[in-house]
Amino acid sequence: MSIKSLTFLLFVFVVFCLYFAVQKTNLQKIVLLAAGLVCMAAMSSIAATALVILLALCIYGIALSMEKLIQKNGSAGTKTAKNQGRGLLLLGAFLDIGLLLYFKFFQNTYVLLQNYFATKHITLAELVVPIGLSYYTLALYGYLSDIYHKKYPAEKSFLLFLTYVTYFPAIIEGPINLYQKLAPQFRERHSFDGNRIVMGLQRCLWGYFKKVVIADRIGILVMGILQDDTAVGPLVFYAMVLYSFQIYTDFSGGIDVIMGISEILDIKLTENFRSPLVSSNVTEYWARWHMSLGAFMEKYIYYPIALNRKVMKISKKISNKYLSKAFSSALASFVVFVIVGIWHGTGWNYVVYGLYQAVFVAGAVLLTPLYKRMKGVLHIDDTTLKWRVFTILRTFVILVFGRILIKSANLQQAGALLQRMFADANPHALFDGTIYQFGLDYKNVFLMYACIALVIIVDILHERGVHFRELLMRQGIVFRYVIYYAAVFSIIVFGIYGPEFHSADFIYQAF
Amino acid sequence: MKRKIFGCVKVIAFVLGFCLIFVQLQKVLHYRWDFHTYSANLYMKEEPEDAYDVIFLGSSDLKTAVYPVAMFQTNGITSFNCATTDNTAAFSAYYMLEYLLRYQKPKVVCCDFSALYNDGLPSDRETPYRKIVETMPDRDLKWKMIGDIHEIDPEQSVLSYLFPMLKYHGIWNELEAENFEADYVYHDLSEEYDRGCSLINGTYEEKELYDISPALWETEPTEEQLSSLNVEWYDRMIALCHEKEIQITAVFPPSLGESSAHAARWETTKAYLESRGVDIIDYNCYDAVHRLELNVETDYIDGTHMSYRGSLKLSPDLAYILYDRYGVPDRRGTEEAAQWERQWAAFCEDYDIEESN
Repeated sequence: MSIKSLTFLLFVFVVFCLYFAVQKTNLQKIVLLAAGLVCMAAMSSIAATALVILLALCIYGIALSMEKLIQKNGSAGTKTAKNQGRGLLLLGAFLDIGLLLYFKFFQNTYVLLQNYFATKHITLAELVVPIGLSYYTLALYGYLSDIYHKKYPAEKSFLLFLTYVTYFPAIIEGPINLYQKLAPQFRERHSFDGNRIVMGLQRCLWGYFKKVVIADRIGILVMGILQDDTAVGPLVFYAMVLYSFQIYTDFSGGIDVIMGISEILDIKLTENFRSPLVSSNVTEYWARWHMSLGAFMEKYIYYPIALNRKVMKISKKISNKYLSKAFSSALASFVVFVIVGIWHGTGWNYVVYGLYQAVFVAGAVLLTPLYKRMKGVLHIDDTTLKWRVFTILRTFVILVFGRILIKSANLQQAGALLQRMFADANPHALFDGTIYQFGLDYKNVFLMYACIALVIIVDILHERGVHFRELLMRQGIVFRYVIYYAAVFSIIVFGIYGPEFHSADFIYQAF
Repeated sequence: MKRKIFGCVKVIAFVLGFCLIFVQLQKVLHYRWDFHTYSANLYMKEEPEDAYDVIFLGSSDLKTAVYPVAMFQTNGITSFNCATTDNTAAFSAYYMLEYLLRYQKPKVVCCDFSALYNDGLPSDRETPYRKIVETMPDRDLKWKMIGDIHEIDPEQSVLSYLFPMLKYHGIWNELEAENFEADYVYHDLSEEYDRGCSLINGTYEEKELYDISPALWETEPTEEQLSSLNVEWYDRMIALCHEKEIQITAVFPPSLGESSAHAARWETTKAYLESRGVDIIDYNCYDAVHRLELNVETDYIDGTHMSYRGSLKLSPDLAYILYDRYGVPDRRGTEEAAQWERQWAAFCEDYDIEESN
């Protein structure tokens, strides 16, 4: 069941009907739990769903046991109790993160070995792969860590806990929802509110437009260029620039659909994007892109490393005053981004991708005084619009090159792609009609450009505090209906879907 | 309460507006099949019940081979060529027949059984299925067909058949004036002289020139299996003819490009047809091609499709066989004969042929 399929839309409609039919009772969380389990079974398998329930049960039990230990031994706690608590935390982390690592790394290796040595070939499809694993395993680790650090009480109700783990919009593509922000909402009753539902539907429409009209359309051209070995030089760079827009509209489109569904259900999720296209540097980009992952990494990886006593001890040994202060921050950033790279995929190309990002982020921290001095020497006023535009474009190009690593299946392919990019410097191919030979005719290409421009404008206006949905709700009904019809029929007419096109599922659904 | 009612009214109004726009857009954004396909369906409905004594069903090979107006000239046989291009599915032939028999009472149905050995599902080749569904004027038959297609091949999206715009929405960047016109336009028949036949004014243009000799049909018999899917639908077609007491006959056009395959499968084909009580008229053999004095360069445009010159040789011969074997009435000298005569005259004028030929 794909998020773009009619089956999914019908499923969501049925969930809405049931959810609001029982709004005056405590059954809403049961509806959400049932929906989550059905969605997981439909998108993965029943075996995968059973595995996730088992994982949730283990984490639930471990959290309760940890809390008992803490309560039994008081805030001071004996050394034994602390060790036991740490042991439980490690056990929980082992089960949780271990499952993630197994499916990301060892399962692939196992399949490769089986295919090489065995007579029976096993495909990945035959193996149990739960959907959304990368999202809720991190959230569960965060929950365990919070219980260990006594941030809030452990959840007593397994049903509610399971509802949190399997909350169906979030298992598809994220965001990573921390327990204390999401779970309490399942205890409340959520009433039917026409305006809120309309706002949610608006967001879903925008999400589907970005995914079905923009991302999938760009995908045709990107695939056409990259699969054609005769396409070299600026064409390849052009394809990678487009890929950057594809991955943004694909991911953020999916998130918009998820957020829209949640808004209808009156469940608030963590925002995942904040106009990343207008980022002036790589650090700012990661503060605007996949924000829930960034928030998780910051809380559970960055701060524990940056504030770690051993790391602080090493920092103090550095003679340079600034570097001494910045070292722990830079080291923590470095580790975070290596993990981010690995989180995206299992090959060495993803590790290098993480390192690539880490160099820029950590480097920015360490080299801040140098940059300040350079700007002074070159008389650069970094408050001007010209400088801002330059930094935005510079950041965009840095990220385009980074994406070569995640677009490629492995390092060799990435190297080959980079080689193709620099094999020719003649930009003529971008303007002489060559680009219309890669799957999109000129009308589709211009539509693509128009849609990309629309996304950029919307992002810029969002950044300036213009919120279209609220603006639209203040307009007359006729105007609103015209906009809604235009949006719906744009998706139907201009969307890339159906038997005629190869319909790619959301890129981030593979995580 | 008032707010709830107003809310419901807004939703209903929105949904109605959506349906209206969807229906109008769909009239524009769908594939336009060749006019012949639409026209065959229209003529059957609009013409008198006894307008046609013989109906032809099959693929493009038959569509170019049989010219009904020429058949009328020879033996006064009224017929219509309902064969369709790119037709490799017995399903299409069956449903075409089911539709035709709602409005016509032919005495003979001729089919080329072109899909007997084609084992493809709708997913492998959608055109034969889509064409028949999308040009079907009768809605109940259309829904029945969609249900059957989904049963044959569950991967086929029912919605894309019910709402073709979901399949053809990509046509938005190829829109022309004809996309804004109605599909179903019934022209006064006196203006049309093809009666469903593709009258191709061309000559042979392929590189491989067939040498018409017995060697073209010399081959080892094959044990190629009949397609179970298409046999099932041909059986339904045969049963429908038997039920309505209509003579059903297999007519194999002289497709030289298929000569070897046809000969290799001949025993299997013959056994199947004879077991179902279907008569055979086989033009895809040396005797028939030699008798008709067919010339590859002038009577064909490629290995399987005849030019109008080829159909002018085959059609009278076929007319005589149908008249002789089944006593199909000679309607020359009747009221409707005048229209056929006018059409023959118009055809001769356009193709620069002497009417007496």
